[in-house]
Amino acid sequence: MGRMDSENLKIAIYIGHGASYSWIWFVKTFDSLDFNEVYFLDESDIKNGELSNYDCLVLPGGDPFLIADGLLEEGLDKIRQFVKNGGTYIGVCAGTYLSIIFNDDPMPWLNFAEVPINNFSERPPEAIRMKYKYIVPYKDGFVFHPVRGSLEVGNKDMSFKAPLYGGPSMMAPAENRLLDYVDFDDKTLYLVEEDTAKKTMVGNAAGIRVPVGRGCLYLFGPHFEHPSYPRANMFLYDIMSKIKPFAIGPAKKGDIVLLHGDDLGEWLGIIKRELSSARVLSSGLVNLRWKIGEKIWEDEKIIYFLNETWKTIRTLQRYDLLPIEDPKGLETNARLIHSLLAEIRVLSKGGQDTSKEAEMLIEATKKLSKGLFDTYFNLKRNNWWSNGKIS
Amino acid sequence: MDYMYTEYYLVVDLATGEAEEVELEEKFVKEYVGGAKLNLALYEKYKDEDPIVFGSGLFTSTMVPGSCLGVLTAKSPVTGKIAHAPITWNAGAELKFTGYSFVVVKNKAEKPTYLWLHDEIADFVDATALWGKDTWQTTDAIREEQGEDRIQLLVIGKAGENKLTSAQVINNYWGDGDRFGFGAIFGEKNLKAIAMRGMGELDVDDAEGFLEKVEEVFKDVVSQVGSAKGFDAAAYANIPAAVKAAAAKQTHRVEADFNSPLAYKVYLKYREDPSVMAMSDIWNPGVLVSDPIGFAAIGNAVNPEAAGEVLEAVFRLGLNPVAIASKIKAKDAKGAIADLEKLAESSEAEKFDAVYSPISPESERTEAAYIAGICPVLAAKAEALNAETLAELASISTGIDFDADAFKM
Amino acid sequence: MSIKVEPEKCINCGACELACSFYRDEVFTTMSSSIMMYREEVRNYFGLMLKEEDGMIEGRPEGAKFVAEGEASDSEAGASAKPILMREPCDKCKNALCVRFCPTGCLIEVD
Repeated sequence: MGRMDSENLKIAIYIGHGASYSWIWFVKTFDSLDFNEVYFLDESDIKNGELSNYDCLVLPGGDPFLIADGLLEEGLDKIRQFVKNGGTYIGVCAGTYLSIIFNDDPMPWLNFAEVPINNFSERPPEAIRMKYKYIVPYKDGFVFHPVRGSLEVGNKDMSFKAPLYGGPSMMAPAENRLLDYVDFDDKTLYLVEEDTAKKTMVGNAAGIRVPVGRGCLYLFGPHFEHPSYPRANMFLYDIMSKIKPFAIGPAKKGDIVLLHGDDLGEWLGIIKRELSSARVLSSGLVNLRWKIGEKIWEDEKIIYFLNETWKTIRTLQRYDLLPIEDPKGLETNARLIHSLLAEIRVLSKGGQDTSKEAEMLIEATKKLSKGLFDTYFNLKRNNWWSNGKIS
Repeated sequence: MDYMYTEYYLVVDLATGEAEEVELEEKFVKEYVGGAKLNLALYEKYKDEDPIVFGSGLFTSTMVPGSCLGVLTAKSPVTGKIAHAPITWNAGAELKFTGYSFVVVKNKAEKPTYLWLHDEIADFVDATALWGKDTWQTTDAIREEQGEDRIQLLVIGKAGENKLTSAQVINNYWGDGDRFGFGAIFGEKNLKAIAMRGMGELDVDDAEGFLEKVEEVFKDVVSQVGSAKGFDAAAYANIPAAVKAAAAKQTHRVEADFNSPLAYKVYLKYREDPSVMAMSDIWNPGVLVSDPIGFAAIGNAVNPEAAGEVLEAVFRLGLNPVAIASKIKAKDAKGAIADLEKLAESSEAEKFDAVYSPISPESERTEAAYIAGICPVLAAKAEALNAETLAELASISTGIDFDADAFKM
Repeated sequence: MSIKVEPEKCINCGACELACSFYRDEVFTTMSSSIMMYREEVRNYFGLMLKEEDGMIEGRPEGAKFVAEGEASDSEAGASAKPILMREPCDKCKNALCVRFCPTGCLIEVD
């Protein structure tokens, strides 16, 4: 089987329970790299056996504990079968931790292969900043994060910058290695003393390829999909172009409604109005920090999400006909986002806890943006630009 | 328009509650550039429907120094002629960021309404409960209702509601460049306020060339402004010495308009110690002297120590300080404020001489500033903001050839 | 490289917000900046905040201080004056536009 054209590669991105906002980076980068077959799955899609209809599964950043809680053994096993039968698994950060064994007594996760990591310890070095983001308890020890932000990765042929937000420092055999952590740069943020950070990271693997059955895993520490790192995006593109076709059936399709004319105008108007109000509210939100599971959700990500969704709406409004799955549901979500933000503003001004509202907000923004991206990629696949449907 | 402006301008019909987005065409910008000049063209286009136009200049909201200016254009109830009122501070910049570089407000609403512009959305909001409230209460209420403290407003108080020619359109809490009774037009239209908040982006044609030129202009402007600030930067206002001396004892901090290096606005604290920098429980410690000429007029009418507090009342009632100053009889703050409250409800306030007294000093660069969207107070001080330089910046940033004459009415 | 803030020099013009946003996207907006102005307008309580990867510099009228992420800001000043974090962190660019376009020297580039 040969290389695949980017426009035909069927990519499933996991956006279900425990996935953080970083999946939106994949959406932006895949879009700019001209991938058209981009789909979004949650834990129930995976449990329902949807995976076999895709060539690869992307497990983005997030919280591996929560992801595993959502997928349950049933979903985890579906992923194992998918790879064994020939599917490709791309894990980043949480998606990487979820798939490897790095402890004698591992959590019951995917556990595809043993890959020791150098940032796990029963007694991690002392943090010099960002203590609450520094460590995550894991069984009898801690996964710790010596640095954050931009750093240098490379191999004998290339080196480039990529951002790290908690990904592992992997001690993999040479034959699995794609990229190592090479050096830090002037924008690297040290959470421990620089020397300790170097000892923990430099020389270890930042990206590996592990064959499993008829499929394989690509596991990354840094976020090569981050849209601000074009060289890292090209590395990702090269990896994607090596993926073997696997999908055996058509991708999942919901009940699509075709909206046009006044109905479309009215629907877009509502979504836009609610999103606009949500953006105004979120830009004025103050000093909130929400903890959900083991992960701190940063409030700036909310506005990033809303902004990307806003850009998508502005693209979609150029069309006079749109295929939309569950437009009423998306409308409800847009209204919910607006009202939740209003509630959060009032509660936080009064110094009250807003984590429940925040969790609902994250869920609602995820659903709305997924729905709009589905429509967007549907248009892209059907090449409606050249079909003259653009108004 | 691809560069420096938004794609659309907005035409609002208060009678029908409809808002129409109209494409801002490049040829239109080429001919009328922006600000007062383009406002005038829009006024003419919609003149049969009793319009008032709020518009930005070509450089409003951009990195050109002093890019704060919005301009209100309508037929003045004071002079009977078409007039342009400069609005400084942040409202002009916010307008452009909403996605509408210009808004034409036509006809009259059936009941009190405020217009809420946010990110390419125009909402007509019932303002019945706000009618009768002063400008401060209204600004607070709208910011609370829409959930953002940085919403910028053009708002009227009692004087505007009562359609007095001495009414002024107020900018959030502070008076600004409306000396033409536009507050009465808002009142006539049942328009309590235009509220704006936007997260839009504006493109520039040659970003690199623009940055290079604008940094050169910025450096020139900063050196021409020099160290002048506060009332020293507002010498044109001729504030009486005694008033200045009293104000010096109340001065808290000085401030500038959006993206302007000239800190000529002075905040006076008279309800708490002006040296207090931290925030106290006093929610209304003083007033921003946003209009030094208006402050001078009030200072001439009342006791020097009372000038700030009386100016606050002028702003809250939505009055034009230059028009109303000579009608104040009492010299003390309490008495003067009582006078003002009566004046805001009486046709007595109608009888004033329509002396043209702008908010800014006159300079050969004023006209260009009104078109470019540059603060005229800064332009008067900074020779670098001349029509030739503005034309050069305009050409680089839009790709359209502009000459200095483009910045003349 | 990092940015030092001397908020007592601030005149709240927002040139830094525009400049930082321009550095990021070559467009004029205030929303993609790592710096955010804040203003309690009636009280005239204003300053700026600079978002960093691990916290934020609060440039309050009474002085600047660094607040590490996860720590509460001091609450005396009232809820609405607390730092706002909905911005991308400063990427510590060199010869920063925010510093170059600050008219009062309120922002200073330090090593």
